[in-house]
Amino acid sequence: MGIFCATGPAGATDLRFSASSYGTPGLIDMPTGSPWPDGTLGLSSVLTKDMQKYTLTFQITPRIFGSFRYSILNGYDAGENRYDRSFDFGYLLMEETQYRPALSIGLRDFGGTGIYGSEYIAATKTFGDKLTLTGGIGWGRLASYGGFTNPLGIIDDSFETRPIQDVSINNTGRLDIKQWFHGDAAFFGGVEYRFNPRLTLKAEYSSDAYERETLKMGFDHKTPFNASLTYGFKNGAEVSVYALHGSEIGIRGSIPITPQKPKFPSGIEEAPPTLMQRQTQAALSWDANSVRQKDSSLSMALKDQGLTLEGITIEGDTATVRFVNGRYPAEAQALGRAARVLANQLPADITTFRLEAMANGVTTSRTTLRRSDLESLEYDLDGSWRSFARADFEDAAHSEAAPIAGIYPKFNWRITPYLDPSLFDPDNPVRADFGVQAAASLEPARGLVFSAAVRQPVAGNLATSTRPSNSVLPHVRTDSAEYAKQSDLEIKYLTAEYFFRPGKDLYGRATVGYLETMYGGVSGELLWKPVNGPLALGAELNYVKKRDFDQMFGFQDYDIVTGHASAYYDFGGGYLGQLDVGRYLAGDYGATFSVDREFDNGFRVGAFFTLTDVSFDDFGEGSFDKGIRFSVPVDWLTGAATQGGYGTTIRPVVRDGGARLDVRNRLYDVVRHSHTPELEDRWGKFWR
Amino acid sequence: MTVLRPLGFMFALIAGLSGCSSDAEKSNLLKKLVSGQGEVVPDPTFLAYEQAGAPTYLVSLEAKKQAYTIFVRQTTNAKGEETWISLDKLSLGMKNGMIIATRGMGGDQLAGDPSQTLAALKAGRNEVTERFVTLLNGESQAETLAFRCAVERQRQADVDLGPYTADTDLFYETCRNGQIRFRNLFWVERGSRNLVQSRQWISETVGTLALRAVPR
Repeated sequence: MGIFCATGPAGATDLRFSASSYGTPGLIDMPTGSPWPDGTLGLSSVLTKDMQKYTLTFQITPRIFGSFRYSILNGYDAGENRYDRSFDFGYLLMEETQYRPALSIGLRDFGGTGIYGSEYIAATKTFGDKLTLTGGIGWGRLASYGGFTNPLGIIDDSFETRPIQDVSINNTGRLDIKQWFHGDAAFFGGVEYRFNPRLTLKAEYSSDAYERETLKMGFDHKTPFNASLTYGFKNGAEVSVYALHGSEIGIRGSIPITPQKPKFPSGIEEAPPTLMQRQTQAALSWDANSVRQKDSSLSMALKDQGLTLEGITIEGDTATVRFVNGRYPAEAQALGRAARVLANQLPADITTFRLEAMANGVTTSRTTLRRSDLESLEYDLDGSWRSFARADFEDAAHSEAAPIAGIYPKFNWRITPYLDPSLFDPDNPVRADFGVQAAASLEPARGLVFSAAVRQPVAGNLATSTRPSNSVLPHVRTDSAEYAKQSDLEIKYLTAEYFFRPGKDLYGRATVGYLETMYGGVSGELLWKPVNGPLALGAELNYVKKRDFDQMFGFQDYDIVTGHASAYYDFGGGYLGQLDVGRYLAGDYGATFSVDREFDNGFRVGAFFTLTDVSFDDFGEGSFDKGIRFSVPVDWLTGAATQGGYGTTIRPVVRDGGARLDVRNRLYDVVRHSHTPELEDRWGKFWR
Repeated sequence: MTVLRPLGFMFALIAGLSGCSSDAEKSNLLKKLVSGQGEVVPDPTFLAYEQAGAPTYLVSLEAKKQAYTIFVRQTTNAKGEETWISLDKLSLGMKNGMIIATRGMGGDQLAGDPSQTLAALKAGRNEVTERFVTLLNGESQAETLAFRCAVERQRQADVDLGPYTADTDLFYETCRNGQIRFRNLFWVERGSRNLVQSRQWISETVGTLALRAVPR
């Protein structure tokens, strides 16, 4: 067997950071003031006799964390189980120094049904590498035990009373700002002692009286003290056993994911072609005509690297080539390999290489590299940055490489398994269908793509949802279970797409056909995106009709004109913002606000919310559309140079307001990979 | 024979990559998984250089038992930097027996500057040197580390190279910075001052490679 096991990170103990039963920085139930390391994704679950909590927490910036939690409370609603979704937020006010503790402010369950609704300020100080002390003040649920009159009453008397919460299901999802930091306050605190890198003991004084659990689930609150013992594994995973208020035992398990550290940091694909010494035209038995053939040695050498040569023009000392990168997730790596192949295949007197990158048939950027820079920087200590600094990047609205005959038509097909998850719906935390998908595409000419995918579900429970839609809006998304129930062999999409370049920095897309599971029609998009800038602007207009539930060729009566104007901004540091303003599928007008953090390796975590002219009451449960999304690149998981990724969007509840068409190949994500900000992010791969 | 090149196909199956496709490369993932991962077709370029009698190294990975491969020298550039390629499509950048780059090992060194250590070895002197290493990190960025190293002669050592036994001086190079510490070993042939055998640290992910020149 040739499996190679990379050694784990040497400082495995660095992965230890304290997590509470809420899956957030904390002791047992109480929060702490210290954040987790930047970028950490923590998955945790907690089990007690009558309660389960599953939490995903993301340290969004060095100071901010956000959490999504799905809880199951047995018998909470008059004997029925309660499935509760909640969001937390925390902000580090002050970093820990030698003499000062770390200080954080946080909100628990600020937009759910408020079962865990509370606010806190916590201070944490470490002493040596073993002892950590935490003290804090809480409000709401965190002041239900040992509470006293709110000191914030000094500012305004209104702080002393916490307004009665409207807990009706339709009222969930709204920010209970009037409640925050109101009503009684209470102190909490605790200690954490790390015996060794494996074993940690925690004890806390809790200001949570477990009132609702006592009332509705028969919980017995005997003491305010909790204690836990945690065992930490080498990879950072932890298992804890804890005693809760003298009456129950709980188990917590957690796994941290560090997006910045994939298992194989540099990838495991084969070495790039060796940069050979320059050769004359005669030595290469090269001529300008044969290089234009589809089976030229240049074409073959590029193909060997997963690159398809589509065009080439040689003028004087400059070669301009147009190629498709079908292999590398990092376009910089494709450029590096293409450049080395050109250096090896073209005669010595061709000294400048202009590489035109492509996506869906259109050229997206042109990178100019010099042969002499390749030669001098191949093993240079600072070769990565220097080669980036010496490269030129520009738009390639019109390709300047003459096409190679016989490249089109192109035909591709693929049969793969698929998994279609629907996570954390109000009745069941995990629904998913599993089956087989066949997809094919035909490109008769550059930019024109016919594609189709059919799916055959094999097993799953998407069709078992028994919640009929109670939406007062047109059922543009709440019928999704019907699509699972009433279909068998289904057409996921069947489209004709045309991609084109209307001008400098401009990209166009026209799509017609069965666009997604629930809609078919026509879709047009225009994007302005300069190669070197952080800002992009787009506009999209669609006319769509709702498809039949069987996902075959028929349509239902509902049709709509929907579309958005969009602004995209790359803030740097991996933070991407997007604003979409327009008309949604139910005919409502409004805007979607999104922020994503994309690590340079492509690992991406984001959140969004949509506000439209649909009232919170008409929207129904959740009040407005919101969710979190993530995607993990294949190469992050496997180390292999393969494009694509796995991801999903998690919404606390899917409703009809603020719902957007899910058309494939929106231009921003199609073209950005070969633009300068993305190239710079992954330029380390140029020499890989 | 076991190969050195890391394979990550276990994840590929979980990730649902496997399947049939018009792209032969993607279909091959499944085939490799089924047929055993150690089967590597030797690189034809490697074979051509090997048969032409190019200089050869036997290289093993310390972290894994029985993980070894053979490298041949493919080219030397104007700066005297050599590129060596293996039969399983890895490559090494070398200069006078010192590794200055790796490609394909999972945690690659993009570049390295061990010139001060090399000078001390060539001169046969004990010396404190600076060594620089540029790694490709998990965020696809180049990251340069600086180390302070102590180069110290240990003792005379005979190295059996097959056709003959080399009379060498064994040197330790002990390097550290704030976070990382490693030790390289060099067997420097007396007279020629060539590095006939060595152990060289690559990165925390890869660990250490052991190299032995194969006389031709």
